[in-house]
Amino acid sequence: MNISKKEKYLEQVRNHMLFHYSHRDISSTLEDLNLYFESGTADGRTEEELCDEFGDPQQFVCEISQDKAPSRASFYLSVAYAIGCCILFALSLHVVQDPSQLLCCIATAAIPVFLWYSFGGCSLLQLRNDTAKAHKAELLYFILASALVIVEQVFIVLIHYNFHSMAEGQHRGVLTIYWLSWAGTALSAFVSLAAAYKVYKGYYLSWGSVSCSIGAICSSLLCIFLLLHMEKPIPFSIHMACILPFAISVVLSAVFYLILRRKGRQPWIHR
Amino acid sequence: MDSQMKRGILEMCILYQFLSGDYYGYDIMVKMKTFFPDVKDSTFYVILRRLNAEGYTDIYYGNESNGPQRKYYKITEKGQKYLDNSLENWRQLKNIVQELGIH
Repeated sequence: MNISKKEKYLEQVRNHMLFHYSHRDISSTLEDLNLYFESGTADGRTEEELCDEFGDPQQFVCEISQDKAPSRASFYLSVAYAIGCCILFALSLHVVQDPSQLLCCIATAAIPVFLWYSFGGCSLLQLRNDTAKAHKAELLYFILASALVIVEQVFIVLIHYNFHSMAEGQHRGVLTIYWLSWAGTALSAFVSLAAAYKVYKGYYLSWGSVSCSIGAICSSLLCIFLLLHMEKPIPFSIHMACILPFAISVVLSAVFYLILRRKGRQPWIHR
Repeated sequence: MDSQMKRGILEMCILYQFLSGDYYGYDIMVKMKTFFPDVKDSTFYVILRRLNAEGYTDIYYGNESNGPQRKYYKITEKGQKYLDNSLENWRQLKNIVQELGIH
């Protein structure tokens, strides 16, 4: 089936707008472009001429982005998340006096970092105009956040198996870290709810943010459940199973991403 | 020309056109194109979009008897005040430049 020049152009504009604009914004822009093409062809001009007259689709979307005032609320929210992450990290350092626990603290800080990525980091990226650069940066954030969450899970396992051999005085610090993980999980749940609300309102979200947030919540909840039963011996295999939800969500995201890219579509979730 | 300056001038010119009547998007782009042949239609569209988002213009849909549906833009009271202010700034700037001997 032959796709007309106009349809191809509209599809390109749509693809370039997907990550940055709401469903309503995209629909309204495409509707305007459609009217432009209809008026132009009624005026005796060809679709090729009109496409040429309107200019490169990516350049057009960049022009809209440059024209749009950056959302200050999103920016401040991102900064707030980053500050929150630093406070949690500092708190973790304060409660654990033993330097050997430093790595555990860094691992605990992985949850807020991941949260910052999921919600705030994406908002920061929205301030960028170049969609190709934003796309690459998003992938980088995703890989970094995934690595941090995996490190966190591994350290939780290590803490668990060394807990009983630790000095009595260190227990309180380690448990505090676990409660911070609880707080991180609660925040993660909040982020997922906010993400769901954004999708409901017609905003486009990154596939990585949503699926991996859900995976991270499941993994953290399982770990916390095991921590509550820390007095009892838990088989290593069950503890390792805690990482499975997050690992599955990462693999599914990667597969989803590859399939969509192969089909030439942007890998963003949309309704 | 500096893109910000060009944008400001185009914005003022487009709003000024609406003083003589309502235009639909394509129509105003064709009209502006005769004066600014180097400017892409997308630039005019982005300006129209912003003027509307800022509340300087209103839109309504009109049906032509033998043609496609059209989205008309008309200037609002807020747009009128904004245009008056832009024109005032423009005249002041033009006077200063002329006084400097630049013609």
